[in-house]
Amino acid sequence: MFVLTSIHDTLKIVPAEFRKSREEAIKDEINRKYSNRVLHDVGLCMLVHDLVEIDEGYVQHSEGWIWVKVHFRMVVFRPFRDEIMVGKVRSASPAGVQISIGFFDDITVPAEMMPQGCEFDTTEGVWVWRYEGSDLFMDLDEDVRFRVLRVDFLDVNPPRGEKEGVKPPYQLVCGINDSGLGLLSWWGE
Amino acid sequence: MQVLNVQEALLTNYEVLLVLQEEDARHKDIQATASRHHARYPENVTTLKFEALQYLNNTSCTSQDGAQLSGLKERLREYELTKAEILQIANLRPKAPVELYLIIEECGDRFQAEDLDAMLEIVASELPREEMLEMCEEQVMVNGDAEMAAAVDEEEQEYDEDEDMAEDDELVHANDRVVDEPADEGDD
Repeated sequence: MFVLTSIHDTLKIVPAEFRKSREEAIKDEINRKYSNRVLHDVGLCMLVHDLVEIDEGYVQHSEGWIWVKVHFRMVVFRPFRDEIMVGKVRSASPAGVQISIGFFDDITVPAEMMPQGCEFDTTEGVWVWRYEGSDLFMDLDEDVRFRVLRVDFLDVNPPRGEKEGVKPPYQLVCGINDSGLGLLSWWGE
Repeated sequence: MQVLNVQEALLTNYEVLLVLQEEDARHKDIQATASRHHARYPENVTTLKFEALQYLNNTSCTSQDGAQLSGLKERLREYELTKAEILQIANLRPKAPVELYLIIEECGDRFQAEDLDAMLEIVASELPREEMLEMCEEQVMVNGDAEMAAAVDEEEQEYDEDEDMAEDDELVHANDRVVDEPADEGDD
């Protein structure tokens, strides 16, 4: 689910931060810039893991802050293809189901990837699996196990085309059409 | 800004939990000692830390430690599993063969049923977790009520967390979201 990504960047430390130790100030600056943000083709950055190398820093004339070149490693959320994960059902529609794992919400299970015999119940607004005579409902907020099928990165830099709705910069397309996948309660847990 | 190596290493949930807990402890220390003005952390950091901790605290990595993970890796060595498969076993802590079929590629070709049972036994002994076993037994006995009890327990945990962070201004908004709509989080 998580990987370590090695990044090199130039960061500025403002005078208000000089009271902190060098490492602390740099780590806080890295977190401020990267935490909870999606890096294109990399993943969702979480927190800095450690600092590999920092240089002495230099001050530009006419500026009051220090620029530091840092080589650091960052904890990044980046599930690999075919990884199995557990999340909660967030919403359901005829197009499929949206799953959330708290810190990341853009996980979709399209209708084609639902188990065989699953259909959308419009009265209740949830998907139901009609399996061997019994109706198993995929209620909201239930724990569900899923497999990551595809990872989509969308370049959200301008210029953008017509606004067809806000697409997420990082989206996981997943499936639950295999034994063991789907609601944990279906498999006796 | 330059990404030198997108995947330098794979991390288990346990290792990420350690990083989050360290950062959380550091934030709490600073907020306890520093003045109001100096104790503000940007919203993206606090939101991510809170939500990620909430997710990981509900998985089996809370009871793991480095010794357990190396023990697990050592005992699974004879089965020649890939790194990704061992990582998922450590994260998901499978209890039934059907889970191993999902995690391991071409499971039926590579392993017999006895091998899978042996692997599950290794997982259970190297990554012990007593409280979960008790909760599972309750659920087996009385399904509906146990689910309600488990849901109430989770809510109580959330309230406990809220008490710890009640004094922080920027976290008040996050607390409101947790109390009202646990499944609804916004992010970038």
